[in-house]
Amino acid sequence: MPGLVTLVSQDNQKIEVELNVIRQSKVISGMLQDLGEDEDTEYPIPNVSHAILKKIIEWCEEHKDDAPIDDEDPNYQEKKRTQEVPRWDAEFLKVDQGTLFEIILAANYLDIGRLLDFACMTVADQIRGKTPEEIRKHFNIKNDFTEEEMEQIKKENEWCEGN
Amino acid sequence: MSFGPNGTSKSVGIKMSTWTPQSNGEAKEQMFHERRDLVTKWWSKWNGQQRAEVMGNLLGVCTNKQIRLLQDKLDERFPTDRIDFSRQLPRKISLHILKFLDPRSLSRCAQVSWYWKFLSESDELWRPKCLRFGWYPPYKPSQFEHGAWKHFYILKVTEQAVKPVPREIIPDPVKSARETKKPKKQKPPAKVWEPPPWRSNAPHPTEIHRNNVLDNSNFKKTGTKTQKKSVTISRPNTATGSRYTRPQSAAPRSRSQSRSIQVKPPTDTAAYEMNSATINQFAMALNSSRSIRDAPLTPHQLSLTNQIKTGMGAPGYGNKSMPTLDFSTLNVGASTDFEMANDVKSLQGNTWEHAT
Repeated sequence: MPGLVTLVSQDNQKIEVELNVIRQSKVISGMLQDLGEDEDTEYPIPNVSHAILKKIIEWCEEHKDDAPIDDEDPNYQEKKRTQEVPRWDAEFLKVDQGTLFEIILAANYLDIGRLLDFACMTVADQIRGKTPEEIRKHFNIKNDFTEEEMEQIKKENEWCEGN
Repeated sequence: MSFGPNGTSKSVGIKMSTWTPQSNGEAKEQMFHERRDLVTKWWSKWNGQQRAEVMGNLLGVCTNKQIRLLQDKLDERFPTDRIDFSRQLPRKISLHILKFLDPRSLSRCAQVSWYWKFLSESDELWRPKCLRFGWYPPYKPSQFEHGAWKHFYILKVTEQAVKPVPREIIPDPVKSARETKKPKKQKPPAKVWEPPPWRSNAPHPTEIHRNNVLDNSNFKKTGTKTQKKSVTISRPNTATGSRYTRPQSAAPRSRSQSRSIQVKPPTDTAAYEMNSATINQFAMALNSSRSIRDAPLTPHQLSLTNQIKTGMGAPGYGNKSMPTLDFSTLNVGASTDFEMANDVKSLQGNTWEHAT
Protein backbone atom coordinates (compact mmCIF):
# COMPACT_ATOMS: atom_id res chain seq x y z
CA MET A 1 0.00 0.00 0.00
CA PRO A 2 1.45 3.33 -0.90
CA GLY A 3 2.42 5.80 1.83
CA LEU A 4 3.37 3.07 4.24
CA VAL A 5 6.76 2.29 5.65
CA THR A 6 7.84 -0.66 7.70
CA LEU A 7 9.84 -0.05 10.84
CA VAL A 8 11.71 -2.83 12.57
CA SER A 9 12.08 -2.39 16.29
CA GLN A 10 14.80 -3.64 18.60
CA ASP A 11 13.23 -7.07 19.03
CA ASN A 12 12.83 -7.58 15.26
CA GLN A 13 9.13 -6.91 15.24
CA LYS A 14 7.74 -5.06 12.28
CA ILE A 15 5.36 -2.15 12.46
CA GLU A 16 3.75 -0.48 9.47
CA VAL A 17 3.30 3.26 9.71
CA GLU A 18 1.95 5.91 7.44
CA LEU A 19 4.61 8.05 5.93
CA ASN A 20 3.19 11.40 6.93
CA VAL A 21 2.76 10.19 10.49
CA ILE A 22 6.30 9.13 11.06
CA ARG A 23 7.76 12.15 9.34
CA GLN A 24 7.68 13.94 12.68
CA SER A 25 10.77 12.04 13.57
CA LYS A 26 13.59 13.91 11.96
CA VAL A 27 15.75 10.81 12.10
CA ILE A 28 13.27 8.65 10.22
CA SER A 29 12.46 11.32 7.66
CA GLY A 30 16.19 11.71 7.14
CA MET A 31 16.48 7.98 6.73
CA LEU A 32 13.65 8.00 4.20
CA GLN A 33 15.49 10.60 2.22
CA ASP A 34 18.74 8.69 2.36
CA LEU A 35 17.38 5.25 1.56
CA GLY A 36 14.57 6.36 -0.71
CA GLU A 37 10.89 5.90 -0.01
CA ASP A 38 10.77 2.35 -1.15
CA GLU A 39 7.85 0.23 -0.01
CA ASP A 40 9.93 -2.90 0.35
CA THR A 41 12.61 -1.32 2.47
CA GLU A 42 12.48 -1.96 6.17
CA TYR A 43 13.82 0.75 8.36
CA PRO A 44 15.58 -0.56 11.43
CA ILE A 45 15.12 1.29 14.70
CA PRO A 46 17.55 -0.70 16.82
CA ASN A 47 17.42 1.45 19.95
CA VAL A 48 13.70 1.34 20.56
CA SER A 49 11.69 -1.61 21.80
CA HIS A 50 8.46 -2.68 20.20
CA ALA A 51 6.18 -1.44 22.96
CA ILE A 52 7.78 2.00 23.08
CA LEU A 53 7.81 2.31 19.32
CA LYS A 54 4.09 1.61 19.31
CA LYS A 55 3.61 4.33 21.90
CA ILE A 56 5.61 6.77 19.86
CA ILE A 57 3.64 6.03 16.72
CA GLU A 58 0.47 6.58 18.70
CA TRP A 59 1.72 10.00 19.68
CA CYS A 60 2.77 10.80 16.13
CA GLU A 61 -0.65 9.87 14.82
CA GLU A 62 -2.29 12.26 17.22
CA HIS A 63 0.07 15.05 16.25
CA LYS A 64 0.39 14.42 12.54
CA ASP A 65 -1.53 17.57 11.63
CA ASP A 66 0.52 19.89 13.82
CA ALA A 67 2.60 22.53 12.17
CA PRO A 68 6.27 21.67 12.11
CA ILE A 69 8.27 23.48 14.74
CA ASP A 70 11.46 25.38 14.42
CA ASP A 71 13.74 24.67 17.33
CA GLU A 72 15.85 27.73 16.73
CA ASP A 73 12.88 30.05 16.75
CA PRO A 74 13.14 32.24 19.87
CA ASN A 75 9.36 32.50 20.01
CA TYR A 76 9.14 28.76 20.29
CA GLN A 77 11.82 28.72 22.97
CA GLU A 78 9.88 31.30 24.93
CA LYS A 79 6.64 29.40 24.48
CA LYS A 80 8.34 26.22 25.58
CA ARG A 81 9.42 27.87 28.78
CA THR A 82 5.96 29.04 29.70
CA GLN A 83 3.49 26.56 28.27
CA GLU A 84 1.99 23.58 30.00
CA VAL A 85 1.66 20.09 28.68
CA PRO A 86 -1.57 19.84 26.65
CA ARG A 87 -4.23 17.65 28.10
CA TRP A 88 -4.03 14.86 25.57
CA ASP A 89 -0.27 14.66 25.96
CA ALA A 90 -0.53 14.75 29.72
CA GLU A 91 -2.89 11.79 29.57
CA PHE A 92 -0.66 10.06 27.08
CA LEU A 93 2.33 10.48 29.34
CA LYS A 94 0.58 9.20 32.43
CA VAL A 95 2.66 6.06 32.48
CA ASP A 96 5.05 4.51 34.91
CA GLN A 97 8.44 6.11 35.22
CA GLY A 98 10.24 3.35 33.36
CA THR A 99 8.07 3.82 30.28
CA LEU A 100 8.29 7.58 30.58
CA PHE A 101 12.06 7.54 30.60
CA GLU A 102 12.13 5.10 27.73
CA ILE A 103 9.86 7.41 25.78
CA ILE A 104 12.25 10.25 26.54
CA LEU A 105 15.19 8.20 25.32
CA ALA A 106 13.35 7.11 22.19
CA ALA A 107 12.11 10.63 21.43
CA ASN A 108 15.64 11.86 21.85
CA TYR A 109 16.97 9.13 19.60
CA LEU A 110 14.33 9.64 16.93
CA ASP A 111 14.61 13.41 17.30
CA ILE A 112 10.97 14.22 17.95
CA GLY A 113 11.43 17.56 19.64
CA ARG A 114 7.97 18.19 20.94
CA LEU A 115 7.45 14.76 22.41
CA LEU A 116 10.80 15.07 24.14
CA ASP A 117 9.83 18.45 25.55
CA PHE A 118 6.46 17.26 26.77
CA ALA A 119 7.94 14.18 28.40
CA CYS A 120 10.67 16.24 30.06
CA MET A 121 8.07 18.71 31.26
CA THR A 122 6.13 15.85 32.77
CA VAL A 123 9.19 14.77 34.73
CA ALA A 124 9.89 18.35 35.74
CA ASP A 125 6.33 18.64 37.01
CA GLN A 126 6.98 15.63 39.18
CA ILE A 127 9.97 17.38 40.73
CA ARG A 128 8.40 20.79 41.13
CA GLY A 129 7.00 21.66 44.53
CA LYS A 130 8.64 18.77 46.34
CA THR A 131 11.06 19.02 49.22
CA PRO A 132 14.47 17.39 48.78
CA GLU A 133 13.38 14.46 50.88
CA GLU A 134 10.27 13.96 48.77
CA ILE A 135 12.31 14.12 45.59
CA ARG A 136 14.63 11.49 46.96
CA LYS A 137 11.69 9.27 47.77
CA HIS A 138 9.97 9.82 44.46
CA PHE A 139 12.98 8.94 42.37
CA ASN A 140 14.55 6.47 44.77
CA ILE A 141 17.74 8.45 45.20
CA LYS A 142 20.23 7.67 47.90
CA ASN A 143 21.25 10.58 50.05
CA ASP A 144 25.02 10.57 49.84
CA PHE A 145 25.64 13.73 51.87
CA THR A 146 27.06 13.58 55.35
CA GLU A 147 25.36 15.49 58.13
CA GLU A 148 27.77 18.40 57.89
CA GLU A 149 27.50 18.61 54.13
CA MET A 150 23.73 18.57 54.47
CA GLU A 151 23.91 21.52 56.82
CA GLN A 152 26.17 23.48 54.54
CA ILE A 153 24.23 22.81 51.36
CA LYS A 154 20.99 23.62 53.09
CA LYS A 155 22.50 26.92 54.12
CA GLU A 156 23.66 27.60 50.59
CA ASN A 157 20.18 27.06 49.25
CA GLU A 158 18.01 28.66 51.87
CA TRP A 159 17.84 31.93 49.96
CA CYS A 160 14.64 30.84 48.27
CA GLU A 161 12.92 29.36 51.31
CA GLY A 162 10.66 31.05 53.78
CA ASN A 163 9.05 33.77 51.77
CA MET B 1 3.83 -44.52 32.12
CA SER B 2 6.82 -45.51 30.14
CA PHE B 3 8.76 -43.09 28.06
CA GLY B 4 10.86 -45.46 26.12
CA PRO B 5 11.82 -49.03 25.54
CA ASN B 6 13.17 -50.67 28.67
CA GLY B 7 16.18 -52.88 28.86
CA THR B 8 18.78 -50.51 27.40
CA SER B 9 21.77 -49.14 29.28
CA LYS B 10 21.46 -46.73 32.23
CA SER B 11 22.66 -43.65 30.44
CA VAL B 12 20.28 -44.32 27.64
CA GLY B 13 17.52 -44.56 30.22
CA ILE B 14 18.13 -40.99 31.36
CA LYS B 15 18.32 -39.87 27.80
CA MET B 16 15.19 -41.65 26.83
CA SER B 17 13.25 -39.98 29.61
CA THR B 18 13.10 -36.94 27.35
CA TRP B 19 11.94 -38.99 24.45
CA THR B 20 9.12 -37.32 22.54
CA PRO B 21 7.04 -38.71 19.73
CA GLN B 22 8.12 -36.06 17.21
CA SER B 23 6.25 -37.52 14.27
CA ASN B 24 2.89 -37.78 16.02
CA GLY B 25 1.68 -34.23 16.64
CA GLU B 26 -1.24 -35.15 18.81
CA ALA B 27 0.77 -37.40 21.09
CA LYS B 28 3.47 -34.77 21.27
CA GLU B 29 1.06 -32.12 22.44
CA GLN B 30 -0.41 -34.43 25.03
CA MET B 31 2.97 -35.35 26.36
CA PHE B 32 3.95 -31.70 26.65
CA HIS B 33 0.90 -30.93 28.77
CA GLU B 34 1.49 -33.93 30.99
CA ARG B 35 5.06 -32.98 31.59
CA ARG B 36 4.19 -29.38 32.29
CA ASP B 37 1.69 -30.47 34.90
CA LEU B 38 4.29 -32.69 36.37
CA VAL B 39 6.80 -29.88 36.67
CA THR B 40 4.19 -27.66 38.26
CA LYS B 41 3.49 -30.41 40.76
CA TRP B 42 7.15 -30.76 41.52
CA TRP B 43 7.52 -27.02 41.81
CA SER B 44 4.87 -26.86 44.50
CA LYS B 45 6.74 -29.50 46.47
CA TRP B 46 10.06 -27.71 46.35
CA ASN B 47 11.18 -25.32 49.00
CA GLY B 48 12.42 -21.82 48.33
CA GLN B 49 16.05 -22.70 47.91
CA GLN B 50 15.30 -25.48 45.48
CA ARG B 51 13.06 -23.23 43.46
CA ALA B 52 15.76 -20.57 43.27
CA GLU B 53 18.18 -23.21 42.08
CA VAL B 54 15.82 -24.41 39.38
CA MET B 55 15.15 -20.85 38.27
CA GLY B 56 18.85 -20.20 38.04
CA ASN B 57 19.22 -23.30 35.91
CA LEU B 58 16.36 -22.29 33.67
CA LEU B 59 17.72 -18.79 33.23
CA GLY B 60 21.05 -20.32 32.28
CA VAL B 61 19.54 -22.20 29.36
CA CYS B 62 17.29 -19.36 28.24
CA THR B 63 18.15 -17.47 25.08
CA ASN B 64 18.23 -13.68 25.10
CA LYS B 65 14.91 -13.55 23.38
CA GLN B 66 13.26 -15.56 26.13
CA ILE B 67 14.86 -13.43 28.82
CA ARG B 68 13.59 -10.30 27.13
CA LEU B 69 10.15 -11.83 27.07
CA LEU B 70 10.53 -12.47 30.76
CA GLN B 71 11.57 -8.85 31.23
CA ASP B 72 8.46 -7.61 29.45
CA LYS B 73 6.30 -9.83 31.63
CA LEU B 74 8.06 -8.53 34.69
CA ASP B 75 7.62 -4.93 33.57
CA GLU B 76 3.95 -5.58 33.04
CA ARG B 77 3.61 -7.07 36.45
CA PHE B 78 5.76 -4.57 38.30
CA PRO B 79 5.45 -1.18 36.63
CA THR B 80 8.84 0.37 37.11
CA ASP B 81 8.65 3.28 39.42
CA ARG B 82 11.03 5.29 41.50
CA ILE B 83 13.84 5.37 39.07
CA ASP B 84 16.60 7.90 39.41
CA PHE B 85 16.43 9.26 35.89
CA SER B 86 19.71 11.09 36.33
CA ARG B 87 21.39 7.68 36.35
CA GLN B 88 19.46 6.29 33.39
CA LEU B 89 19.32 9.17 31.00
CA PRO B 90 22.29 10.89 29.44
CA ARG B 91 23.36 14.05 31.19
CA LYS B 92 22.13 16.19 28.34
CA ILE B 93 18.57 14.96 28.73
CA SER B 94 18.69 15.23 32.51
CA LEU B 95 19.67 18.86 32.07
CA HIS B 96 16.88 19.28 29.55
CA ILE B 97 14.42 18.12 32.21
CA LEU B 98 15.87 20.48 34.80
CA LYS B 99 15.66 23.34 32.32
CA PHE B 100 11.92 23.40 32.87
CA LEU B 101 12.34 24.07 36.58
CA ASP B 102 12.28 27.35 38.43
CA PRO B 103 15.19 28.54 40.61
CA ARG B 104 13.55 27.46 43.81
CA SER B 105 12.96 23.90 42.64
CA LEU B 106 16.50 23.78 41.34
CA SER B 107 17.82 24.82 44.72
CA ARG B 108 15.86 22.04 46.27
CA CYS B 109 17.21 19.58 43.75
CA ALA B 110 20.68 20.62 44.80
CA GLN B 111 19.97 19.24 48.26
CA VAL B 112 19.07 15.77 47.03
CA SER B 113 22.40 14.14 46.31
CA TRP B 114 25.84 14.98 45.04
CA TYR B 115 25.05 14.18 41.44
CA TRP B 116 21.81 16.12 41.55
CA LYS B 117 23.69 18.99 43.12
CA PHE B 118 26.18 18.87 40.29
CA LEU B 119 23.40 18.74 37.70
CA SER B 120 21.23 21.43 39.16
CA GLU B 121 24.09 23.89 39.54
CA SER B 122 25.20 23.76 35.92
CA ASP B 123 25.82 27.08 34.33
CA GLU B 124 23.73 25.93 31.42
CA LEU B 125 20.63 26.18 33.63
CA TRP B 126 21.44 29.37 35.47
CA ARG B 127 22.97 31.49 32.76
CA PRO B 128 19.66 32.10 30.93
CA LYS B 129 18.00 32.91 34.23
CA CYS B 130 20.61 35.59 34.90
CA LEU B 131 20.54 36.93 31.38
CA ARG B 132 16.77 37.22 31.49
CA PHE B 133 17.20 39.95 34.03
CA GLY B 134 20.21 41.39 32.31
CA TRP B 135 22.53 40.35 35.11
CA TYR B 136 26.04 39.81 33.96
CA PRO B 137 28.77 38.73 36.35
CA PRO B 138 31.56 41.28 36.76
CA TYR B 139 34.19 38.72 35.76
CA LYS B 140 34.37 35.77 33.42
CA PRO B 141 33.87 32.56 35.43
CA SER B 142 36.57 30.04 34.69
CA GLN B 143 35.51 26.69 33.40
CA PHE B 144 36.61 25.04 36.63
CA GLU B 145 34.43 27.24 38.76
CA HIS B 146 31.37 25.12 39.24
CA GLY B 147 28.05 26.84 39.83
CA ALA B 148 29.37 30.34 39.26
CA TRP B 149 26.21 31.50 37.58
CA LYS B 150 24.04 30.10 40.33
CA HIS B 151 26.03 31.88 42.99
CA PHE B 152 25.85 35.03 40.99
CA TYR B 153 22.10 34.66 40.63
CA ILE B 154 21.62 34.16 44.37
CA LEU B 155 23.90 37.08 45.08
CA LYS B 156 21.89 39.33 42.83
CA VAL B 157 18.57 38.15 44.24
CA THR B 158 19.61 38.71 47.83
CA GLU B 159 21.28 41.98 46.92
CA GLN B 160 18.29 43.45 45.20
CA ALA B 161 15.61 41.62 47.15
CA VAL B 162 14.03 40.91 43.82
CA LYS B 163 10.33 40.41 43.71
CA PRO B 164 8.73 38.35 41.01
CA VAL B 165 8.39 40.38 37.86
CA PRO B 166 5.31 40.11 35.68
CA ARG B 167 6.18 38.27 32.53
CA GLU B 168 5.32 41.15 30.20
CA ILE B 169 8.08 43.33 31.59
CA ILE B 170 10.75 40.68 31.44
CA PRO B 171 13.17 41.86 28.82
CA ASP B 172 14.48 39.76 26.04
CA PRO B 173 17.50 37.97 27.54
CA VAL B 174 19.88 38.49 24.67
CA LYS B 175 19.02 42.09 24.12
CA SER B 176 19.20 43.05 27.75
CA ALA B 177 22.50 41.25 28.18
CA ARG B 178 23.92 43.22 25.33
CA GLU B 179 22.68 46.44 26.80
CA THR B 180 24.28 45.82 30.14
CA LYS B 181 27.44 44.52 28.59
CA LYS B 182 28.09 47.37 26.24
CA PRO B 183 26.22 50.40 27.43
CA LYS B 184 28.58 52.63 25.51
CA LYS B 185 27.56 51.20 22.19
CA GLN B 186 24.29 53.04 22.31
CA LYS B 187 23.56 55.42 19.50
CA PRO B 188 25.13 58.77 20.10
CA PRO B 189 22.80 61.74 19.88
CA ALA B 190 22.53 63.30 16.48
CA LYS B 191 25.47 65.61 16.04
CA VAL B 192 25.30 69.15 14.86
CA TRP B 193 27.60 69.47 11.91
CA GLU B 194 30.78 71.28 12.51
CA PRO B 195 33.73 71.59 10.23
CA PRO B 196 36.44 69.00 10.77
CA PRO B 197 39.59 70.34 12.34
CA TRP B 198 41.49 70.43 9.07
CA ARG B 199 38.92 72.64 7.46
CA SER B 200 39.43 75.56 9.65
CA ASN B 201 37.77 78.87 9.18
CA ALA B 202 41.00 80.58 10.03
CA PRO B 203 41.16 83.88 8.20
CA HIS B 204 44.87 83.47 7.55
CA PRO B 205 45.68 79.86 6.68
CA THR B 206 49.18 79.18 7.82
CA GLU B 207 50.10 76.28 5.59
CA ILE B 208 49.73 77.89 2.22
CA HIS B 209 53.45 78.13 1.62
CA ARG B 210 53.89 74.36 1.76
CA ASN B 211 52.01 74.04 -1.45
CA ASN B 212 54.42 76.14 -3.28
CA VAL B 213 55.28 73.55 -5.89
CA LEU B 214 58.41 75.39 -6.89
CA ASP B 215 59.87 74.79 -3.51
CA ASN B 216 58.78 71.28 -2.84
CA SER B 217 61.55 69.03 -1.76
CA ASN B 218 59.36 66.78 0.30
CA PHE B 219 56.79 65.75 -2.23
CA LYS B 220 55.31 62.78 -0.43
CA LYS B 221 54.06 64.86 2.41
CA THR B 222 52.58 67.46 0.20
CA GLY B 223 50.45 64.79 -1.36
CA THR B 224 48.25 64.79 1.69
CA LYS B 225 48.68 68.40 2.52
CA THR B 226 47.69 69.62 -0.89
CA GLN B 227 44.26 68.24 -0.24
CA LYS B 228 43.86 70.53 2.67
CA LYS B 229 44.97 73.36 0.58
CA SER B 230 42.62 72.50 -2.21
CA VAL B 231 39.69 72.82 0.10
CA THR B 232 40.93 76.15 1.29
CA ILE B 233 41.18 77.33 -2.25
CA SER B 234 37.75 76.18 -3.20
CA ARG B 235 36.33 78.48 -0.60
CA PRO B 236 37.29 81.83 -1.83
CA ASN B 237 36.00 83.83 1.08
CA THR B 238 38.47 82.21 3.40
CA ALA B 239 41.33 83.95 1.77
CA THR B 240 39.84 87.38 2.00
CA GLY B 241 40.78 87.90 5.56
CA SER B 242 37.27 88.57 6.64
CA ARG B 243 35.86 86.16 9.13
CA TYR B 244 33.96 83.54 7.27
CA THR B 245 30.94 82.05 8.90
CA ARG B 246 29.17 79.20 7.32
CA PRO B 247 25.53 79.91 6.62
CA GLN B 248 23.18 77.75 8.66
CA SER B 249 21.24 76.62 5.66
CA ALA B 250 24.31 75.24 3.91
CA ALA B 251 24.22 71.49 3.89
CA PRO B 252 27.42 69.81 4.97
CA ARG B 253 29.40 68.66 2.02
CA SER B 254 29.95 64.97 1.63
CA ARG B 255 33.45 63.68 1.98
CA SER B 256 33.89 62.60 -1.59
CA GLN B 257 32.72 65.93 -2.77
CA SER B 258 35.19 67.81 -0.69
CA ARG B 259 38.02 65.60 -1.82
CA SER B 260 37.78 66.16 -5.52
CA ILE B 261 39.69 69.16 -6.47
CA GLN B 262 37.29 71.47 -8.17
CA VAL B 263 37.91 75.05 -8.51
CA LYS B 264 34.89 77.18 -8.94
CA PRO B 265 35.34 80.49 -10.61
CA PRO B 266 35.38 83.11 -7.90
CA THR B 267 32.27 85.15 -7.58
CA ASP B 268 34.11 88.11 -6.26
CA THR B 269 37.42 88.48 -8.05
CA ALA B 270 38.42 91.44 -6.05
CA ALA B 271 38.52 89.33 -2.97
CA TYR B 272 41.14 87.10 -4.51
CA GLU B 273 44.82 87.22 -4.04
CA MET B 274 45.38 84.64 -6.75
CA ASN B 275 43.71 84.86 -10.08
CA SER B 276 41.72 81.98 -11.41
CA ALA B 277 44.33 80.97 -13.94
CA THR B 278 46.86 80.37 -11.20
CA ILE B 279 44.38 78.39 -9.27
CA ASN B 280 43.51 76.20 -12.22
CA GLN B 281 47.16 75.54 -12.81
CA PHE B 282 47.53 74.73 -9.17
CA ALA B 283 44.72 72.28 -9.17
CA MET B 284 46.03 70.52 -12.24
CA ALA B 285 49.39 70.20 -10.61
CA LEU B 286 47.81 68.72 -7.54
CA ASN B 287 45.77 66.27 -9.54
CA SER B 288 48.74 65.14 -11.51
CA SER B 289 51.02 64.84 -8.54
CA ARG B 290 48.45 62.78 -6.72
CA SER B 291 47.96 60.38 -9.55
CA ILE B 292 51.66 59.92 -10.07
CA ARG B 293 52.53 59.46 -6.48
CA ASP B 294 49.66 57.30 -5.42
CA ALA B 295 49.77 54.70 -8.13
CA PRO B 296 52.41 53.24 -10.39
CA LEU B 297 52.33 54.16 -14.04
CA THR B 298 49.38 52.73 -15.87
CA PRO B 299 50.04 50.53 -18.88
CA HIS B 300 48.94 53.40 -21.04
CA GLN B 301 51.47 55.67 -19.46
CA LEU B 302 54.19 53.06 -19.74
CA SER B 303 53.53 52.54 -23.42
CA LEU B 304 53.64 56.26 -23.88
CA THR B 305 56.96 56.54 -22.18
CA ASN B 306 58.24 53.68 -24.27
CA GLN B 307 57.00 55.40 -27.36
CA ILE B 308 58.78 58.54 -26.34
CA LYS B 309 61.99 56.68 -25.74
CA THR B 310 61.88 54.79 -28.98
CA GLY B 311 60.98 57.96 -30.74
CA MET B 312 64.01 59.61 -29.35
CA GLY B 313 66.19 56.56 -29.94
CA ALA B 314 65.11 55.91 -33.49
CA PRO B 315 65.77 58.91 -35.66
CA GLY B 316 63.21 57.88 -38.27
CA TYR B 317 60.33 58.44 -35.95
CA GLY B 318 61.87 61.02 -33.77
CA ASN B 319 60.45 64.00 -35.55
CA LYS B 320 57.02 62.63 -35.39
CA SER B 321 57.00 61.68 -31.81
CA MET B 322 58.90 64.55 -30.42
CA PRO B 323 56.22 67.18 -30.86
CA THR B 324 53.73 64.95 -29.07
CA LEU B 325 56.07 64.66 -26.14
CA ASP B 326 53.83 66.60 -23.93
CA PHE B 327 53.75 66.07 -20.21
CA SER B 328 50.07 66.73 -20.15
CA THR B 329 49.45 63.37 -21.85
CA LEU B 330 51.40 61.74 -19.09
CA ASN B 331 49.23 63.41 -16.56
CA VAL B 332 52.25 65.33 -15.43
CA GLY B 333 50.41 68.24 -16.84
CA ALA B 334 51.28 71.71 -15.87
CA SER B 335 53.44 70.59 -13.06
CA THR B 336 56.44 72.69 -12.62
CA ASP B 337 57.92 70.38 -10.11
CA PHE B 338 61.32 69.62 -11.55
CA GLU B 339 62.12 66.93 -9.16
CA MET B 340 59.02 65.12 -10.22
CA ALA B 341 59.84 65.60 -13.84
CA ASN B 342 63.24 64.16 -13.15
CA ASP B 343 61.57 61.27 -11.47
CA VAL B 344 59.53 60.56 -14.54
CA LYS B 345 62.59 60.77 -16.71
CA SER B 346 64.50 58.35 -14.58
CA LEU B 347 61.52 56.07 -14.78
CA GLN B 348 61.54 56.35 -18.52
CA GLY B 349 65.22 55.58 -18.46
CA ASN B 350 64.58 52.46 -16.45
CA THR B 351 61.93 51.18 -18.75
CA TRP B 352 64.22 51.93 -21.64
CA GLU B 353 66.98 49.90 -20.15
CA HIS B 354 64.63 47.04 -19.55
CA ALA B 355 63.22 47.31 -23.01
CA THR B 356 66.59 47.02 -24.61
